[in-house]
Amino acid sequence: MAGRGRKKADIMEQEDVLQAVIIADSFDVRFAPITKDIPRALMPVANRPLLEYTLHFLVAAGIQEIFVFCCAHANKIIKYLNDTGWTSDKAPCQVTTQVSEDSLSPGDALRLIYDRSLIRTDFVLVMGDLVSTINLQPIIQQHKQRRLKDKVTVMTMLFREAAPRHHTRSSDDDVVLVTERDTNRVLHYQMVEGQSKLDLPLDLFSDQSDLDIRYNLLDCHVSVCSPQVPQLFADNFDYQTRNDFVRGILVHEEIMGNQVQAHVVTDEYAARVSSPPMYDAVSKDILQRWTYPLVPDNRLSSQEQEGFYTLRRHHVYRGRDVFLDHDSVLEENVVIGPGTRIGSHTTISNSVIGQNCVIGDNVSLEGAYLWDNVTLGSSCSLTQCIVCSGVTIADRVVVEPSCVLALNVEVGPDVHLPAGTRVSLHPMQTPGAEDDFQEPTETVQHQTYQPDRIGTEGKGYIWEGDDDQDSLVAAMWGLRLEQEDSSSEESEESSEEEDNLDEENSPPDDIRIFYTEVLDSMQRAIEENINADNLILEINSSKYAYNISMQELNVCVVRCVLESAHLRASLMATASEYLAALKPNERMYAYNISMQELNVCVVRCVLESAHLRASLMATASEYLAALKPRKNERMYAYNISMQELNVCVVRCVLESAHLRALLLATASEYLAALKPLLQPMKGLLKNYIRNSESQQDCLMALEEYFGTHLNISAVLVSVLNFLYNEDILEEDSILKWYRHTAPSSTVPQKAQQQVRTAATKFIQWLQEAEEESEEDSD
Amino acid sequence: MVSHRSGIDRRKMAAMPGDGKESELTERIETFMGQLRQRQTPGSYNVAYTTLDILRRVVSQTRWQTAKDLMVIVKREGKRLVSAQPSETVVGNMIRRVLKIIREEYARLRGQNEEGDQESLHKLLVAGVEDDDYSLSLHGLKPAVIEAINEMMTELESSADNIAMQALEHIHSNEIIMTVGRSRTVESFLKSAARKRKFQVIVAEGGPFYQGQVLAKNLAEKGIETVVITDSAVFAMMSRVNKVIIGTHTVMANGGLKAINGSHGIALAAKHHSVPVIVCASLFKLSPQFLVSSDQAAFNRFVSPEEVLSFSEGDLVSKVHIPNPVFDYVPPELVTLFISNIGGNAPSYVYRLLSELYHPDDHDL
Repeated sequence: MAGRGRKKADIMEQEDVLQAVIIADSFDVRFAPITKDIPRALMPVANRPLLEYTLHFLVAAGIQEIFVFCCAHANKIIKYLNDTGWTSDKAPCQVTTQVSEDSLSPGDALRLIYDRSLIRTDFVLVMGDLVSTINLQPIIQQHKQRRLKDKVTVMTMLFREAAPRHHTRSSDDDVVLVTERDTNRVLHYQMVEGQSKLDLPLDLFSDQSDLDIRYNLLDCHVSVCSPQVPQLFADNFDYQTRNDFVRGILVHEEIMGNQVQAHVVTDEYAARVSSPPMYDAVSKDILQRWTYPLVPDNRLSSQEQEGFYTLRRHHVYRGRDVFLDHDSVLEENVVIGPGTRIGSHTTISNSVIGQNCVIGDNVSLEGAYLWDNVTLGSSCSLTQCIVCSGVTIADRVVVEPSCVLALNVEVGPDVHLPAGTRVSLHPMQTPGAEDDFQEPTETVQHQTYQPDRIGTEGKGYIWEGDDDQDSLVAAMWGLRLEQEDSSSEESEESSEEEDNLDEENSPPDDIRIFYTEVLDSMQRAIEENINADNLILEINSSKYAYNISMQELNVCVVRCVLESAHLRASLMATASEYLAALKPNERMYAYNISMQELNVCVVRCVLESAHLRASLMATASEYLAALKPRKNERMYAYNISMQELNVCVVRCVLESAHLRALLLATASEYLAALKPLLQPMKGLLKNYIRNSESQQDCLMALEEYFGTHLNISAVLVSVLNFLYNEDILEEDSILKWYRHTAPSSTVPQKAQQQVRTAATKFIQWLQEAEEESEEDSD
Repeated sequence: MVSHRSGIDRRKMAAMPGDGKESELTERIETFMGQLRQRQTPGSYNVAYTTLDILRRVVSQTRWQTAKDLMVIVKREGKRLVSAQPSETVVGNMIRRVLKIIREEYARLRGQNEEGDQESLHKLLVAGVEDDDYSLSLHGLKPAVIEAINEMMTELESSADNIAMQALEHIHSNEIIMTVGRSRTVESFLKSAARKRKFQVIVAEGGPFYQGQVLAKNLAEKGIETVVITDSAVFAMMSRVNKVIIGTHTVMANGGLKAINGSHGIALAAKHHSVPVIVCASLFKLSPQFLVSSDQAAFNRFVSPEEVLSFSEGDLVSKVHIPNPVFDYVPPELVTLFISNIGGNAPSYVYRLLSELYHPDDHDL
């Protein structure tokens, strides 16, 4: 026994030191406006900073070296760790902080960790808002053993079993997990995000015999990672979050050969304080001792001398020197911090009250979270709210559910705060705040407090605003509206900024540089026939280099497409070509640009660039060669509908012929140019034009094209003839199209009519042929 | 990168002997406290042994002149250790034992034979009023104290064996013994008896922790006829039982027990059927504390409700209160006999053991 300590130290040196990374930044605004002043990791939960739970969890798991990654409020976290002795020699493990002010996502954090080459071995990755009692040791061992056998496992994700609609399940992290039953290998990982339907890829079922599809999991964002995880993040700089990473690994599994493992914990606690409803849920779990030994009456470290709590029945925790006046009742699940005074006839239940608070008479608290040094007047009623340190609430204030009162706010007397009110000393949307989120900047600041809303002695601005913010508040407290889709590469911060960028006229320098860069890469791509994948990668890399949001990216890409089309067109000195290039893009401007739209646009760019290249070479067959390998690939990559593809293909065929004709500068020669082109094209068209619907699509495209190029509409007959002879278009379809003029958004009515007139000759011939054949059969 | 390296260096420095033994000692204390907080030390015996080991280091490695200084230091460190896990009474007991050793050695070195005085009841009564202030600097106190602590550690090491040796006096052939949960002392006690005698053991599984199942398995492997029953079957089975033999976490000052959850029930059932209840407990488990109220701070330990109701249950979890206490209090009138390492004693004799083991001034640390 005597030599145990020393022996342990020796073993420690020989074996790998167990490392852990805490990402002590949330990269979102769920706790705004509180996170304006303090980071989420330092918010007290049951009177103990969140980070403390995370650190103790890791210490209990036997972690010897912890890197705390801080971004927003880094100095506060560092100061806290120094003050509490975590960074000193006496701490049970070595804690070092890593600061990066400009990281925007957990992915950036890991890239930074890779850059600083801190990770030497398998490590544990957690968020700084984790409360957990999971015994990590066996899980780490398992992970290591798997790695010894086979290097392909890069990550083991931990999940806590929890039935659907469990109060500690955050709807943000609602996940459906598909694993292989024998090995627990993750095959599919999908966020639910309020959808009621779920699409699972078919090959999941065809490749595997035994699958587990689980919806009873709570994703606690604890993962045991291999050393190459930071490297993978560095290699793929579009990985923003762990979800991106997991999805990336799963999608590219065949290429990179990496796998992700799942571990489901059934008897220990784990949850993240990721939003105010989760703050409420986790606090209650702590009070009800699910997190034992991380409970208020258990001192976690020697520093916690002050908050010595005793546990009484019904989970009432009382600190030292608590003063309770007569007839005040602590009902259940209550923590009262040391030095707090509570007046008479006060009822408290399901609440946490910090140190040195003063609470008046006849107060009712239900689900209220009061931090330290809060002063509460008499006859107040608070329900389900977070009241931060130093807040003063005067007499007769009623606070309805889902309110947040940020640091040092003063409210009252005689006011009624409606549900969802947020009050902060910071006016809303302060530009240049050193915070972990960006607020829209152009709205006018409120310069004065509003005494009618927060009381005559009130100090603080009410945070409210656009729809986006409202939905945020609602989301905060579980009155969940439809959450914006974050399944694509859109990161959270970009959705914040989405609304205000459309009107942006003078983009900052960064955006301008970014714009020229994207334009350059696009032109080069067209000239050198570079693969679209590489182009996307290039654009993405410039996005990160200049810190461009998704929104700005979309605008820039579209502009660049226009620009490059224009450059091309002027190069060839054909104005009509420019128009053709411009048209689809104009349409895109009109739409609200979404990811889907961008995809469509990219497909068109691919087709267009192939087309441009082909016309430069002036050989239609080469165009076909350029087009063919890309088309299918693009189509599946961007999930383009069959109809759009059909239209695109037909239009491109015509367009290239047209271009050639323009080069030769005569309409009749267009026909000559088209004829040899159509011959090799027919296989391609046959491939896509199969049923009557696609035939209608094809005819629509023809109509659209010739409707806009009326000067060559005479050619239509021969095109129709060709297609009919090749059995691509059936008689019925052509007649149907001819009779019913479908209203089109792109072609004017008159042009449609003219197109039909041009086709009359062919139709007549068709009808005659039909009659003839009927006669023959008679 | 640089800061990271220097951190390692600092750590190495701290571990080096040249840097002073005191920092190593503090580190050791911190580690032990961490283990106590996280419940990483299994069994009271290990806790007691580690506490004594640390106290021995405190005596040998800290700087002190007089017995008074030393007692202040031991009390101070002791308080820290106790505060790490107040429900772990053994830590406090060991500290009191060491304080008592210091007092005795001091008195012996001063030529006073304190032990002789203790013999008379009258002296015992007035012993609370101590006029000696232990302020003399006595030569040879340190080795004497360390020697006494070493003796005590030997006593600790042999205590389980000493108890097991008495097994044959209490367990007779063809008897049916009932126990609950898993006590290491009881396990070795039964195994020791099984070497000579043939008897049957009924083990109540001791939910929600079900340590009884582990005990039953261990006993069955030794060839003892073992039956596992649910806790609810204890009363029904009691009529057939000859003796109840249980372990305990702590022996309270009045002879009551702070024992594993379910012990109270088994003791009441035994009382109803007039079955003797024998408690195996080493002397280090004897605490000078009383139970005053059932809500007494740091008496019980409430752990996660996970074992009672799974957290994954969903909606139900947020609607119910689930206290999950680890210990029961068994009043002294339900206990027939204590078997300690120095022999068998009735609960009514516990007060006498207390005054032998602890000095009255040390009851409150």
